[in-house]
Amino acid sequence: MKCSLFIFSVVLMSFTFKSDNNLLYQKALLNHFSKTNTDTIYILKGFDIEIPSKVGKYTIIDISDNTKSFIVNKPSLYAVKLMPIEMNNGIIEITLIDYLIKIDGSEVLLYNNGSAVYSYKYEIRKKKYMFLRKESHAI
Amino acid sequence: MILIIKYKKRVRHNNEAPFFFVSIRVIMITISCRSTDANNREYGAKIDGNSTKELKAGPVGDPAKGKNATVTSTERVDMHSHPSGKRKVKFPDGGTGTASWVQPSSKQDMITQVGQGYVLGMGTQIIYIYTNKGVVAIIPISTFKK
Repeated sequence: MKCSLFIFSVVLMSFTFKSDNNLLYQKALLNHFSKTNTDTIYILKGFDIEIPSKVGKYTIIDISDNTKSFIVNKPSLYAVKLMPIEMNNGIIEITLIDYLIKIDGSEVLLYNNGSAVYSYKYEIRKKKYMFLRKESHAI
Repeated sequence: MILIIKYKKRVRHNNEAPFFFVSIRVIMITISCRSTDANNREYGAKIDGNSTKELKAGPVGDPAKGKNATVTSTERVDMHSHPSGKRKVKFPDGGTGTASWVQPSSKQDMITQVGQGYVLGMGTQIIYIYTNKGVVAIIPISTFKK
């Protein structure tokens, strides 16, 4: 009984944490595009990151699978890569990389156009993640 | 190795645009192709009158990881390079691509630029001359090589 309770708790915790992670990615994306006029955001992400098709006013298009098909009729495409979450002394860091993507023959070329790290900290009193800072790494 | 060249060239933005002269002082930064680290960091310089001072190179970055190679200096950066480093990346569907650094002046370069700036695209081997309005001229680095 104790064992099954433990497994249930671990499963529940992992679902909660994953859901928090995905929420933080959405917050970071909203922050990242707050000064742009775009209505569509193209993203590259790992399979374990879940982003809904609509975040705020933005339509989200995941081009991680079959990337070429999204660029085939365009000269290039701007996309944001969502890097895995990193933890540093209790601070959660989300790195977003801006890529200009082009196709050269059969090759997908990703040109790094700078990145930004968004940091969040969990406030126990408020029971939510608070935005700490944005660190830009422009090229 | 650093080679400083003073140069005056007649250039134009595109075929329709009028010609104009630009005075160019370029630091040719030759980096060893054997060193991956050297190809993944920015090098920069400051121009003061007739003297050009090389600034401390940026940290080693990775185009696939978002850790950038930007030159940061308390001094004014009048020219800098964009690295030529490349890295193979895998997509979740099994496909592959190549991540590298953007070669022309970036949005951030243009936002922060006062007057005329120079970016040396080490991957494309092109010098991009830009202002806060955008790229105004491009010149192949080979123009300066004998």
